[in-house]
Amino acid sequence: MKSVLKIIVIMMSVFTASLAMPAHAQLSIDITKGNIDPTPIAIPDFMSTDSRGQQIGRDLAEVVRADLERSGLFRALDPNSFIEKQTNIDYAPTYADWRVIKAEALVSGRIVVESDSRMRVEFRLWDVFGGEQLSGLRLAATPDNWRRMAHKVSDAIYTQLTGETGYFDSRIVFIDESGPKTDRKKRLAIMDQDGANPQFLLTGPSTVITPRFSPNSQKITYMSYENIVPAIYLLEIETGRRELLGSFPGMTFAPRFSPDGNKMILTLAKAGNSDIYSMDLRSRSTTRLTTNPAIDVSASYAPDGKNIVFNSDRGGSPQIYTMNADGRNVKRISFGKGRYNAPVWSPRGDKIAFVKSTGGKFHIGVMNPDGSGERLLTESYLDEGPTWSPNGRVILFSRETRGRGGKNEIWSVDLTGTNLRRVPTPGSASDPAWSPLLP
Amino acid sequence: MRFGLPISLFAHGLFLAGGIFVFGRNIPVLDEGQVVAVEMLTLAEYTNVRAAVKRPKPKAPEPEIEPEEPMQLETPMETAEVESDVVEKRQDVAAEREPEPEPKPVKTAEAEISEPDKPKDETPKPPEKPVFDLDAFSDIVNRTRDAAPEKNQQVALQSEKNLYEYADIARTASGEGTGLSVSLLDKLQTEMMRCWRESRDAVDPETLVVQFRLRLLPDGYVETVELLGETGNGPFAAVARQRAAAAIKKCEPYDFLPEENYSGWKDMTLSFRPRA
Repeated sequence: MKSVLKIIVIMMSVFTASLAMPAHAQLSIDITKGNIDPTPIAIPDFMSTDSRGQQIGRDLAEVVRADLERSGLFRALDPNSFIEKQTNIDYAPTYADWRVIKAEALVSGRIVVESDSRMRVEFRLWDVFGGEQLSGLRLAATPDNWRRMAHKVSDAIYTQLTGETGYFDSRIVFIDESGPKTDRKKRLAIMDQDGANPQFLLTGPSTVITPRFSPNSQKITYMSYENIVPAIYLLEIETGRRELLGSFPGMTFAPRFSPDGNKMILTLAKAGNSDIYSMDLRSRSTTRLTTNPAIDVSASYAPDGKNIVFNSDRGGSPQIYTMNADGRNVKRISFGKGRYNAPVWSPRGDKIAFVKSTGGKFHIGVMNPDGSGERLLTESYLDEGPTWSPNGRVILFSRETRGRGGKNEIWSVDLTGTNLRRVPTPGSASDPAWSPLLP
Repeated sequence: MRFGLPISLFAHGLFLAGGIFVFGRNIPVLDEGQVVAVEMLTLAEYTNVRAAVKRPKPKAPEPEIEPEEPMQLETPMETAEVESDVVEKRQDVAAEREPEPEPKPVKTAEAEISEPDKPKDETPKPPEKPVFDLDAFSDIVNRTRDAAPEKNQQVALQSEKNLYEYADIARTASGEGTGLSVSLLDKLQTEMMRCWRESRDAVDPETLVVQFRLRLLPDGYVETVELLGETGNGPFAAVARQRAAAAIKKCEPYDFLPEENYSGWKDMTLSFRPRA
């Protein structure tokens, strides 16, 4: 009996081992390093049968090319190099013609203007080397909205080729600055993420600072100095409806939203001591989260809402700390030389962006939520106010140039630190806040 | 005298402590160097060259047959008279073998070629030793070459499978990397690196491993591609799979691999493993 059992066990072992063994191949090679150059992508003008559609097709393709180029992950090929001129997007392209010009992906699209108030955008994304369609999408909008359609096309391409959600169909609120440094006018403005369509959100000369976007709706909070005491407002961008949340003497930053948009986290100075509080937006009740005699400021929620990152000088110099959403389990996570400020948790949850000043220079940096993997992405005379793209891959910040005539500009940098670009603004601009993706 | 030992111990202790104090401070702290990962591999796995041994020099036959000596001791006393015959016969064998020239013709030839102008050795040579005639030898070689050119080519012996691989004969291939030398494997890896777009922008890219099995045609074009396995899931895994498949296609044709080693690369497994 025992020997029979033994034989069965041996047979099972052999069978299992034969299953576990990989399929036999004589040569086995590990490829551990690849190419990280931008992906060459061909985006011909979107075709159309009527002249208006053709104009929109040209403009739309141009915006898509610019969006993808600006991400740093793609290289849009020159349309003059294209060999094949497609006439119908419903047929597969001649892949060999696109391989010759080294395109790895091809976008072929068309515009169908159905009426003055309705336009259809259709496109297919082809994998040139795989020889197959990766995605196909049809969008409908008014012809005036072609720019948003272009951003939506860019998002779809970006998502399909990188695995990340896109960030092109989003907007940026910022502070438009005018006048000399000593008497600067600061007005709340908004524009597309690529700098197009800038417009003021508020009329009047009031000074406004630190706008913050709700992570899941088109609402912002900002701090206004309409009166002597700074006040916090909540503004619905689509309707222009404005609501006073309260006046808070001594406050220097607007509050930030919680991930669900129902709470805000803010710093209140009471009896000369700054501590972090959360405010329920429905009941307007506040809960104190820190009770330290040091200055605790710049709190930001993790995307899961369970943790908070903030800035405190309780260790002797401004450093970054994390704690649970209820204020317990406070941990210091920054230990490098210099002063750390303005930590912001990434919407992806894997990084915390911050401002670091050391050696007379300012840097925008990122670190893991446990403080490891600190990397400085920028260096300049003054970089401040980081804000994340909706997909947590790009950071916007304001940069001030040195000197009396120095002005503020908005810049973007990706997580690798290699794709640093200035975002075009009508004039001097600061305090950017990136919206979530538009609905 | 009573205090001699304690004083000696104290003095030694003091000396040692002083030494530690003086030299201990001067021990330089080594800089933390960058750790370079070194992968140990067996050369035979990656080359088509089997480990070879030097062919042993043919030994000159020994005149006396030593191992048979003990037999004499075991020879019964009754056959003692025959012993002389045995010894005589043995001597005959030895005498027959003795005049055989030492088998070093090649060495002689080398000496002749390298030192042609040297005065000939005046010492009389033993008459039985053959005189090497380079011209005659060259004629023989040329005739053989003309008559049977195939005999002039080095070929692997059929019978050598289980024998030593001598360094001076052609060897058959063995090992995992049959047919592909290290440089060709490097070339293949480099080409794949060029063709493969790494998912470095993904979350935890090191978890996105994709393994494909390829069967290639002799002209380097892909005959079949089979997905063996992948780790990770979600959109990043899908993109990693698509990029690996595109890399295989992009590198086509694999005509940089030598056709004579086709058996070595016609069937291969490629594992795309991004590093963190």
